[in-house]
This record gives sequence, C-alpha cells and structure tokens, in this order.
Amino acid sequence: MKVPKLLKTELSEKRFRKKVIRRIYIESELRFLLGLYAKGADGRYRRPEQLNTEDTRRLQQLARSIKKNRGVLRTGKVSLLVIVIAAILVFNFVFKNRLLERALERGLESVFSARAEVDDLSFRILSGRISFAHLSVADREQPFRNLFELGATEVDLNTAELLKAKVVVTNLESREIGWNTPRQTSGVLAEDGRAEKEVSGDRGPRKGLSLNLGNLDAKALVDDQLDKLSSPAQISALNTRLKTLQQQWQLTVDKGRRDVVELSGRIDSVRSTDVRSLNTVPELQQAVADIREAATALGQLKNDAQAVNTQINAGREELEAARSAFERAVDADVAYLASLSDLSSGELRNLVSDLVAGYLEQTLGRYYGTARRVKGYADKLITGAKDKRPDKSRVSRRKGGANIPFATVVHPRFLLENAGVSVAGTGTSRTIEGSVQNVSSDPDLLGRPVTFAFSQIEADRRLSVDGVLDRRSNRENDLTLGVQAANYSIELSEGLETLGLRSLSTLYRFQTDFTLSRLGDTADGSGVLELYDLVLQPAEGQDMLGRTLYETLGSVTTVAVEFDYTFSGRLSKVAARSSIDEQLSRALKDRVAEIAAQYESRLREEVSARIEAQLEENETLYAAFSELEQTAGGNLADVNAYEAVLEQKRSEVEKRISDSKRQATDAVKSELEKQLDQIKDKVPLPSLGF
Amino acid sequence: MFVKWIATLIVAVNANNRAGEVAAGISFALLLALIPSGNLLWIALFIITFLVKVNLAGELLFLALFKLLAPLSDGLLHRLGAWVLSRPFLQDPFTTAYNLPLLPLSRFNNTIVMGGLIAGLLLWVPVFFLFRQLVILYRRRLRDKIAGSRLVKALGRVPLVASVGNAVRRIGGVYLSVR
Repeated sequence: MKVPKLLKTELSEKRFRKKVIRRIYIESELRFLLGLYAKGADGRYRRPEQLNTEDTRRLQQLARSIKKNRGVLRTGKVSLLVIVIAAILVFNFVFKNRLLERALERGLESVFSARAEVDDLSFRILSGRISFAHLSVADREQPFRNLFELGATEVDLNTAELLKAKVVVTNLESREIGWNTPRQTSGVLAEDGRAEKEVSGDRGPRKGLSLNLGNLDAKALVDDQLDKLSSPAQISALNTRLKTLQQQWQLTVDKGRRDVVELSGRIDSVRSTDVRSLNTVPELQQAVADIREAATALGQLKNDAQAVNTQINAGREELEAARSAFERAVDADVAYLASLSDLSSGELRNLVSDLVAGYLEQTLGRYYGTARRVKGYADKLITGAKDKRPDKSRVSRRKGGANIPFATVVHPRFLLENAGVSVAGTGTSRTIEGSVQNVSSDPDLLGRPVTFAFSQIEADRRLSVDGVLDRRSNRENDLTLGVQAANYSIELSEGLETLGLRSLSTLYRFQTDFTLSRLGDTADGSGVLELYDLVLQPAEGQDMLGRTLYETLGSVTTVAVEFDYTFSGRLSKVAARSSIDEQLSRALKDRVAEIAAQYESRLREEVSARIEAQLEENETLYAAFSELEQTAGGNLADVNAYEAVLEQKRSEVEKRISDSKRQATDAVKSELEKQLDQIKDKVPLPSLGF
Repeated sequence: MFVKWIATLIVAVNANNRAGEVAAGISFALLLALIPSGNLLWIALFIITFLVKVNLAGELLFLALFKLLAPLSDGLLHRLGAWVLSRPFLQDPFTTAYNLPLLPLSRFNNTIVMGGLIAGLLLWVPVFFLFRQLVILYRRRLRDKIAGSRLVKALGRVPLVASVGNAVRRIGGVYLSVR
C-alpha cells in the first residue's frame, strides 16, 4: 500500500502548511497529521517512512479529501457542461441549416396542410438573415399543383426575438414568384391521404336559358301536364252527350221518316186525282173525304215532326254551346301550358345580365373559395400558435405575486412584418409586384390586420388585387378585397347553345369590392364589368334568339354590367344589370312573341294529338247528329210539302165543286127559263096598263 | 432518496470537507426556496449550484424543507418585490432588462420572484456564516463525543437510524468506518 505523493515522507514547511494543514478541517485528522509529521531542525516536516496499514489508509483518505477540497468549481461537471455546449454548437453549425429547413417545411405544412419544400436554406445567425434558393408549397386540393412557389428569397429576422422563441420576420424579399404551377410529386401529406374536394365557388356550367323554341319540348310538357288539362275531359263529356242525344232521337226521327213515307202514298194518291175528271157529286164527295183523311194524318205527323225538330234544335244549340266551351278549354289549356314555359320575355329582358351573372358566379365563386382558404390558413397560423403558447401568467403553484409590466414591444410568436416580391419581365413583358404585411400568429397582440397588394402587368393587361385580412377579435369583417382588371378577355363557348350563339369573346374591364363577413362565412360585394370589342359567333341554323342577340350586341360598342353578389357556403346569388338590357328587351320582345305564338301552336297540336280519338269520335257523332237533324228537318219539310199538296188539291176540289154547283145552277136556270118561256106562251099573264 | 441525502449530509459534516460547502448548500437551498420555480432565474441558480462545490445533498434536503415553508413568506416577499420593482430609479434598468433577450424568461418582473431573489441574496450571507459556524462547532466540540457515545450506539439500533447509518457507511466508506 502506497502513500500518495501529496503526503510524502518529507515536506517543506510552506507546502505542508499551505497544501495540507490548511485543507484539513477535522480536529482529529489534524492532530493525527501533526502527530505523524515532525518538524526537523531545518524546518522541514518529516514522517516515518514505514507506516502501518491503518495509517497508510488514513493518509490515502486524507490526501483524497485534500484534493477534493481544492477550488470552488466542480471541474468534472463544468467540463461536462462545456462539452455539452460545445457539442450543441458544433451540431448547430453542422446541421443548423438542415434543421431550420425541416422546421420551416414542417411549419408551412402545418399551416397549408400540404407538402412544402425548401431548398438550399442558409441561416446567418449574427446577421439574422435566412436565404433559400427555392420554396414551394403544394395545393392541398390539387396535389399535383403548387399553391405558390418562391424563387431566390432573403428573409431578415429579428435575432433578439429569436432568443425569445419568437420568429419575427422584418422583411422578406423574393425575386420570383409563381402560383398554381405543376408539381412532379404529390403534395398530399402522409397523414392526410385524401385531398379534399374543391370547395371553391366553381359550380359547373350555368344552366342554359330555355328560350330557344327547339329546346321547348311541347310533347314532354303536355305529357307531364296532361292530368291538369280540362279539354280532354270536356271533349269526352261532349261526345257522351252527343251519343245520348243521338240515341234519344234516332228512333223518333226514323219513325217520323217511316210515317212520312207511309203518308206519301196517300198524298201521292191525292196528288194523282184529276179533279177535272170529277164530275159527279159522289166523286167529289169522295175526293173531299180523301183529302180530309190525308190532312188529318198529315196534321198529326206535322205536329210530331215539329216537336222533334224543335227538340233536336235545342239539342244542337246545347251541343254548340258545349263545343264552344271545349274550344275555350283548349285555349285555356294551351295558355296554361305556355305559362309554364315562361315565354313572357321576363328572363330575356335580363339576358346579357344573366349571361354575365353566370360567368361572374364562377369567377367570383373562385375568389370566394380562395378567400375562405386564405382565412383557413390564417386561422391555422393563429390556432397553432395559441395551442403552443405557454401560460405566462403562471409562475409556479405559489400565488399572490403580480407581474409588473415594463414598457416593451411584445411580438407574437410569429410575425411577418413585410414581404415583397417583384418579378420584372425577363424575356417577357410580364411584371409582377406583390407585398404582404403583418402576417402574425396573434393579430390581437399585433393590433393590425394583414394587408396585401398584388399587381400584374402583362402587355396591356393589368390586374391588381389589394385587401385586408383581419383575424382580430374586434374585427368587423374577415376579409375585404378590391380587384381591378383591365384588358382581359372572356371567351365563352359552353352554355351558349340555348341562346343561339356558338361563342362569345370580349375584352373587359372589371372592378369589384369583396367583403367576407365575420359572421356566417358570407361574402358579398358589388362591382362593374365593362365589356368591349364584343365578338359573337352565331350558332348553326336560324335561331331567332341568337340572331337577335347577335344583331343587338353587335350594334353596341360597350356593355356595362353592374352586379351585386352574395356567397354563403355552397349557395351563391349574383344579380347583374347591364346597360344593354333595355335595348335587348325591346328587340327580343317581338321575337319572343313570335316564338310564343309558334310554341302555343305546337302546344295546341300536342293537346289535340292527345284527344285526337275523342275529336274524331266527336266529328263522327256530330256528323251523325247533323244527319239526324237533317232527317228530322226533311220529315218536316216533306210534311209541309204534303200539306201544300193537300191544300192545292183541296182548293182544286173546292173549285171543282164550286164550278159544278154553278154549272148545275146554270143548267137548272137555263132549263127553267126555257120551260118558263114555253109556259109564258101558253099561259096569258095579266098586264098592267100603266 | 431522503435517507441518502441525510446520509450524504452526515458524511459531509463529519468528513474532511469545508464547512462552507454544507453552509453554502443550505444558503442556496434557502435562496431557491424563496424564489418560485418555473422560471429561468431559478433554473440558472440551480444549475450554478451543481457547478460549484456546495453540498448538494444538504442543499436538496433543505430545499425540500424550505419549499414547504416558503409560501408562508409569500406576502412578505410580494411586498418586498413590489417595492423594489416600483422604485423610480430602477425603472430604466428594469425596462432595459425586460427588453433584453432571455432575461424576461427569468420572470424578474414578478413581485414574488424579485422579493424572493432579494430576500434570498440578503439572507444568503448570514445563513452561510451561521451554518458554517455551526458545522465548525460541531466538528470541534461534538463530533468525536457523539461518535463514541452510548446514546448514538443505542440509536444506531433504531431501524430508521440504522438505515441512515448503513447509508453513511456506504457513502463514507472506509474513511468514516475506521473512526
């Protein structure tokens, strides 16, 4: 067992006192050492060379404790701390950029819920500057397209705030920007395997206006509305009534006919009597008797015929009235069917407005969808930060303390004070400028809303967007946006067929103010769309509406459309008023009337086709009834003719009788005069001598 | 854990260590107990005590003890901290400090933190000298007597004390066992 060097056999007084005695704090240990070491004449301390085991061990323990009592720092732990700090620094220098790159990618991915890539990031701590060669963020809803891309970008950071675990970007400048650019790989995050469906305002093609006669399906409409039409029931009722009348009078009229025919024999017999040949009184008496008999029978027949005729005429009048009612019912049915197709030109009056409204609904719907997405991104930025925010008010479990505030600028955990992008046209005439300010994780703390402006000039086309995105708790609106565009073009080819147009292209100036309300996720706004240099291609064929549109729109140089709109969830409402509405209304009015007349005619044909069988039956029945009526009339006419014959014969007979009487009287008178003359010669008559 | 701390403290008091190490540990324990935890100041002070030669067992043992009692002094510490933090001549330095990186994480603007810091620093020196002196007196007057007394030997047979003794022997090793 060896004694440590510190307590070797011989020590100088100075060393013994400074290095050994001074570091002995236990009285017994001190006494042990002083008992072991003896001071020599030369002033040096010496101990015996040979020590027993216990003393040796005790000296070893003492030497160890003396060593431990040197200095005030724990060198081992300090060294360990230094090594740890050095390792952190080395690790930071070696992996700093890569770590920051990943952190930035993760941060962007959490905000935009899609894959983000940052390339060649470089972070200079002392200058507080981050630069990267390229940054891209995928579009969550279109995984193979980028929401936006930045080229070479420099970011100035507030390093003091970084030490407070706050990312305050004082300025961000990028010299290249792109959006909706294609991606080689899917932008869907691994944990978000499904891309959400499009929630923007793209609501598909606008439903065509049913203004083209070719598109008005009269047959289908009549089929659909047949149960609600009154004319089929009326024609059936009319036919039933006709049948009833027919059955009611057919036998009576036939009997009358037979009676007439039967009587005709007698009448013919009377007619054939040669009155002049009647010379004798019995002959005359017989003729008179025949005439009287025939007249009696004829009188009875005439009464019957007249009664039947009167009633058949009444029936006819009834049928005529029913037929008129049926025709009115057909008119009413056609009017009802026409009303269902709305050919009142009410919609036509706002044709251009509606056409533009359809386009605006899609365009503004996309703005609305984008605005909602931007709002969602802002919410994620804010919510994410709030979730991570520590409870600063808690110091420990102990209560009663108060935090004394000192003047300071408190930044949110994330703040982008200003970001600007400027892309000057290189090789192209396109110039893009954009800026965004005050993007923060705590807008209430910052006290300012996000403001942004963007402008793009390409050749003579200009687009500028500026707005305010407010997520503060005391905000009035979530987003206000102003959009101005000039010299852009619209080209429409779908949904125009119903208007009789093949395509429509025009240049336009566009201006709108868009507000996304804080409540209900509702957006509304108003604006003006000015169309100029209209070029229309009429559809094949002669479509009246297309022709009218073509002529009317071709006659103006500018069409101004004022519009108001409201978007709420998936519902949208766009109301537009164009300067050409009145002019187009007048032009279309006449054409619409023409279309309406044609359509009504077609409807009438269709309605008639549905009751064709009944109409044919009606015609047959009506013809039969007319025949019946004619028969009845014929009977009466025959009776009247017979009556005339009898009357004539009666006159002839009476005349003959009268003549016979006169002849007889004359003969008697002549005979008497002759006989008197004969007597006068034989019988003298007294003469009076006056 | 407490047994180990007690044993280590006993070893430290009886071993050839500076009396000031035990005293400093206890002084730091008081300082750390008076300052509410959960802030950078407390963490920094705690780390410092690990780097300097103080008796950690004594510090942790007394810290646990003082922590139980510290809330009783919160009212006093709050008044002291509020008084310091509201001194007009200190407003500028405090404002500057408040705007410096990391320093606000010390929560020095909290009245109890500031009161605890001031009180702890003020008490550190007297407590240090008091306990240092107590250790020295113990070592000079009582250590040897206690070690050889019948009472201590009898107490050594009490289970709790026995376990402490065993821990002391394990920690102190031969150095203490030979005495």
